[in-house]
Amino acid sequence: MTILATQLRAVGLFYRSVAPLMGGISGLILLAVLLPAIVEGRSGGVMPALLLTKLATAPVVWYLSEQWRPGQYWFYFNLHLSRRRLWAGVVALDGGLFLGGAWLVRAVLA
Amino acid sequence: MSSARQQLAGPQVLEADGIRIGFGERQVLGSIYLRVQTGQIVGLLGRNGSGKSVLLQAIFGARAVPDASVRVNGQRVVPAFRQPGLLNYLPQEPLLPPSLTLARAAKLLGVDIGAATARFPELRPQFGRRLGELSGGSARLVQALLLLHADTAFSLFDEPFSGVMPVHVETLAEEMQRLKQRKGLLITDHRYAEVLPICDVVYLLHQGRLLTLEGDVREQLRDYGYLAS
Repeated sequence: MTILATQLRAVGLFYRSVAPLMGGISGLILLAVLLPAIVEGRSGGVMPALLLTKLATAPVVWYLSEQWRPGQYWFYFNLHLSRRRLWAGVVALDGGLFLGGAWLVRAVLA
Repeated sequence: MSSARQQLAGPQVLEADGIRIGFGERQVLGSIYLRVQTGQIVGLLGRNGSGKSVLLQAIFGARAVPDASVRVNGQRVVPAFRQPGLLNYLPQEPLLPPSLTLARAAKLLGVDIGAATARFPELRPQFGRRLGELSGGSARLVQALLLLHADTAFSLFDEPFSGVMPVHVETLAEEMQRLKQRKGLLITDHRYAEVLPICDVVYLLHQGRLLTLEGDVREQLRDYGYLAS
């Protein structure tokens, strides 16, 4: 397994540990922002605002994760991944999944 | 940095200095100089709270220390953990994520788990289990073995023998001696009776200073109050 492939798997593994919280927040945003926008027929330009809202919640997840599991990074350090890289990967992955989910919801309901 | 490259390049020398760490008013580590070479097992002893774990974490790069200089063969490597093949670190707390099986962890670390646990056949049925499903001693042992067998030039072990039963401690110590031929080990553990016989160099952290112990190490450990007189 190359270093890059290992690190991508490691980011996926780390994402699984924060996915319940990040997924919950995604669901709340979709319910509270996207769904009303679809009902009111103004879902066309809502995607950038949705993504910004989602990104704004990342520091909250980061803070809670640091408080709940302060020792969670050791394994990833041993795979040569810094905190910054881990979280950058997680935010990118979660942002992509969130946008995909939002697009799907809009395509189905709009 | 593969084993083959290490052998071609000759021995690797890991040096750390300029590590000063304090908590509030209390200076835990003063000016520290530490050296580990591939082919060596280096023991780091010290009383509770003397800064042994903090020192290992600072060398590993997980703890940012402003003036710290960590070098390998004279080249600065900060944070050291970012350099593939350079070093790994076993913390006192659980290393592996709770959702990960031992087999998958070994794969990510690039370790042949069968070879790593060859001298511990009772661990074989556990490969598909998660760390939390193992006893404390078995979990500690398997984590130490995974990092020991990983292809790095150095391994930093914080309490590798903690909770491990005596017969496994002996075998693990033999494994360390066997594998030091291709890597340098820096070990801190209060089980000094097991640590001292396998060490080529012994350091004692005492009042923020790192002292190199030579000659009658046990007598010096008594003099500095690490062992009862």
